[in-house]
Amino acid sequence: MNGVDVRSHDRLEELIAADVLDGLDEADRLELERSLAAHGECQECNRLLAQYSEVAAGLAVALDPAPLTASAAERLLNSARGERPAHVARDEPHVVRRTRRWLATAAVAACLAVISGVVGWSVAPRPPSGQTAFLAFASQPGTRIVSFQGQDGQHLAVAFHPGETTGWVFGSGLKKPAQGRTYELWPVFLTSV
Amino acid sequence: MVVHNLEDARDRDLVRRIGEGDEDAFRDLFRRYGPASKALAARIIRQPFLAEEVVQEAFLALWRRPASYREDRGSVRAWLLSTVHHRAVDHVRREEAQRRRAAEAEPGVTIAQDVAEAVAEDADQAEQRVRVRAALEEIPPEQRKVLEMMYFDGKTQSTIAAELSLPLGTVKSRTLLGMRRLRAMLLEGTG
Repeated sequence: MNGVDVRSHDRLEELIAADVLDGLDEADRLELERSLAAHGECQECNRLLAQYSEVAAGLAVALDPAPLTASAAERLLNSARGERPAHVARDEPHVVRRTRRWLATAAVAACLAVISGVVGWSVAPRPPSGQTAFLAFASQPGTRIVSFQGQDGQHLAVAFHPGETTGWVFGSGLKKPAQGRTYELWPVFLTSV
Repeated sequence: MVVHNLEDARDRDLVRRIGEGDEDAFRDLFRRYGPASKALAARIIRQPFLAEEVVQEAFLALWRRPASYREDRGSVRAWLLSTVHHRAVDHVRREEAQRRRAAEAEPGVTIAQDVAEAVAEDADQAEQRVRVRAALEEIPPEQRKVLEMMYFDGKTQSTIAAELSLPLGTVKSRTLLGMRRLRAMLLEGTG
């Protein structure tokens, strides 16, 4: 346990038990992340994480399994064929990670509307499922799309519903970043003055 | 380690092979956990088509980064289902307003799907289902309610406290007590 006071695991257990259900509020989740980081490679932490993860998985198993569509496996493999597992690929995956959750809501300048929920998406060729989801979102009534045309055929589009807290950013024709580099998308929260 | 059995060992071998780019291993893992993953996502999102998309994204994340699985933090199954759960809950929390609006505008509309594959389920999984359901019946209803709202409805503890008009501390204690009891019942004799 790296010398960590065992009593602190009582609080960690409380946090982990809720986190594996994705039930923690943001402040508690941050506390958990900080605590786990402070404990480092702690066997007791890993034991709690493993056990409660297994309990959560058990809850999922309690459901009757849902049949997949006949094409599901083939669609998945087709998407996968465009990529390779990270440690096999020589190139770093040029994927912009989206945050697991938004840390907070914030007022955003009205002219910009509120764009949150999705920080970023791969700027590499996306699997069809991502495109499908994006198109489903973009085709809803009231969707506003702002396009940005770059050089050499690069294109970026932002789709959002005014007044709502969800949006998509979709890029195409973007150059593959150099090895070890990624595209990043930074949300900027503005407050009204 | 929590689960020491052949199924777990096989899953870990599949993940190892996926790391080598083995499509057959990827297909096997999807066939094995796809239906459970879809059931979980569908329970949370309540839209089968979107649920399958979430599952696809979760499995693709594994394909991209198989090394993100850590053996010391649980089974492949737990990790996979956790990934699916995170994504489904994220989706629900993000899209809740839109989802409600769409459901109100077009009740009962579903996207046509192709013919479903039969669910090929291991006897092991069916047995586990029976065991988990029995365990859930054993815990006090007020604890079960909190766990179900959290896990299947994607609600946070503070949201549950507000909806049930309970102090937040009560929700937290019910969560911990319920999970401890489940752990004791489900993991007895393992780890």
